[in-house]
Amino acid sequence: MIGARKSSTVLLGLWTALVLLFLFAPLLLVALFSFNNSEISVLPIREFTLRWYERLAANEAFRTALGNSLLVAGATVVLATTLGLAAATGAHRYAPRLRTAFRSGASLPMMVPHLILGIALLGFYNLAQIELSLGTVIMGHSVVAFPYVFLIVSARLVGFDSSLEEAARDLGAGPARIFWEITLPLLAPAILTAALISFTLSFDEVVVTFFTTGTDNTLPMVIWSMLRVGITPEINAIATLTVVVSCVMAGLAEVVIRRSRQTTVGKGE
Amino acid sequence: MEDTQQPDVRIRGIVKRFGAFEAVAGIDLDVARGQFVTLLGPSGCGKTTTLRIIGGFETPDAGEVLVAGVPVNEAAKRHTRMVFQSYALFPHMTVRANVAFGLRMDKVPKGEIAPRVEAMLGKLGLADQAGKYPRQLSGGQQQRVALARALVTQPRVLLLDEPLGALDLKMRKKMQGELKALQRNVGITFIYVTHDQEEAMNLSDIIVVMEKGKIAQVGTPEEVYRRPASSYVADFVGETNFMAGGVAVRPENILIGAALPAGASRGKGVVRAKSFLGASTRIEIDAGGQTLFATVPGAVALEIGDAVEYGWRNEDSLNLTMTEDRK
Repeated sequence: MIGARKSSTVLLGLWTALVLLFLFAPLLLVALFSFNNSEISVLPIREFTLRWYERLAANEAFRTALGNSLLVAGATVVLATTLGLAAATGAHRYAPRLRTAFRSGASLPMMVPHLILGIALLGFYNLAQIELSLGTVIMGHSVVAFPYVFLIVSARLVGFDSSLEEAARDLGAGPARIFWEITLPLLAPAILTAALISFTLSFDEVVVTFFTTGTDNTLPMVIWSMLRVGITPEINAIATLTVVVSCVMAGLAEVVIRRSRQTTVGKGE
Repeated sequence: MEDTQQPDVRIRGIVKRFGAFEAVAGIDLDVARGQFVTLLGPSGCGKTTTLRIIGGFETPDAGEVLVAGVPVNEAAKRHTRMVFQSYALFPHMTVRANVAFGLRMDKVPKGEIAPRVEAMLGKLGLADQAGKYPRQLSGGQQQRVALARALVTQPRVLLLDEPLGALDLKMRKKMQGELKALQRNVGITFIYVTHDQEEAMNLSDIIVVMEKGKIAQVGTPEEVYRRPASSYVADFVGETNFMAGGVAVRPENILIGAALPAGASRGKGVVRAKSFLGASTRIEIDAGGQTLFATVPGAVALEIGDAVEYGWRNEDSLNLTMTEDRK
């Protein structure tokens, strides 16, 4: 019995290791090659260097693209989080019967392939005669990020004790006061998580960006165009930086979620 | 001029429906100033909905509620404060900030808020907890913070929705005593909701027994217990033996054997079970297919299976109008 359990534990461990290897080996290789002092990506690595990063730092196209990406991601965070928060609290408070329908509708952009979304947005911008720019990219990314914000905030609202808002009202607070002093602080962890996820989604988005951008390039677009001439160590460096940024954001989101779990509404014992 | 004769809360013909369910089916009630009034009844009897209507959380479909002479939904400044079943303490605020919240909303001058908060915390024995967060407090302490937060704003009427429900039995007993003392101390009207008849008896000046959205009886604990208006009330408040022929007798009024005086109503049965409770003994009597409960003082020599003569003084039987389910 015990032997059987032991061997199954070993098997499970082995399987987990294989899965992790499959998932992360390519990323690790990319990161490794970005420090490789050689034009071609082959093992073994003879010498480590930072020159690909130095070359990137000097690369004008890269710097502009990074700036654009940060701008787009930042603006997307603001737009998607605001809209998602408003939609989630509105649906929670005012539409208990329509909530399910509204929820499926709001999460629809998540189900639609980005390719279709990109084409649809392009068609819409053409029709509305909106000139393509970083602005249209921001709107596109907000469409992508909105459902995530909506769902994250909605999930937090489900566990929200509505008597807290009633208590605030009972003590004389108006709707705006209640929102600023009670609802918003209690939703803060969810909002922060949603913001971080929006940032990550926007920062490495390619397909929607491809259709909705004008002459400006974002970082993933630069990578994509550079790839046409083959994988260079510079791409490895960019990719590594992108992964690091995404990981930091995801890690922060995780920390926020954990901390909020410890400080959530509790009844003492 | 304030009319002292005017009731603090006047309820006239309120009705509240949730879909097809009529939670409150026409209630009239006057609550005099400074009274401890309890709405008592099983879940679904409309007691919490009634309380929420008084507090302005629900709008009645018909009828109106006046607090201090002003209709609840038209009042510029509300005179009621609610203590919620879940306490509804703001988890992201300290005890001090929770208690100060209502004063800030009332636009009380800043310099006045801190001393009032500290005084109220002191009054409720929370002076040492002021800097803590609600989750760091015990259930009883959270309860007291909820009371402090409501009372510091000096409401005319305090509404309490099963505030002791989340506490264990011992704590509940202790808090009952504290609540009663607190109500005497602050001298304002308390309207209290519970399904626990013992709690209602223990705390109230007036008990309002509710049944299916209506008032079954209003009276002092003694009136409700000694002269229940219906079999429903007799059954819900205290224990009652319902005899054949529509007679109802409290267990403590059932007499056994030699204790029976001349002229008492009598019957014969068999002891089915008994438990010694210290000051009294509780006996379960099988009286020809019917089960009776008797609470007799001290210990009893009877054993299970013994034949027993039981009875009651006719003046001790309850005079009831039978409600449908007892006919």
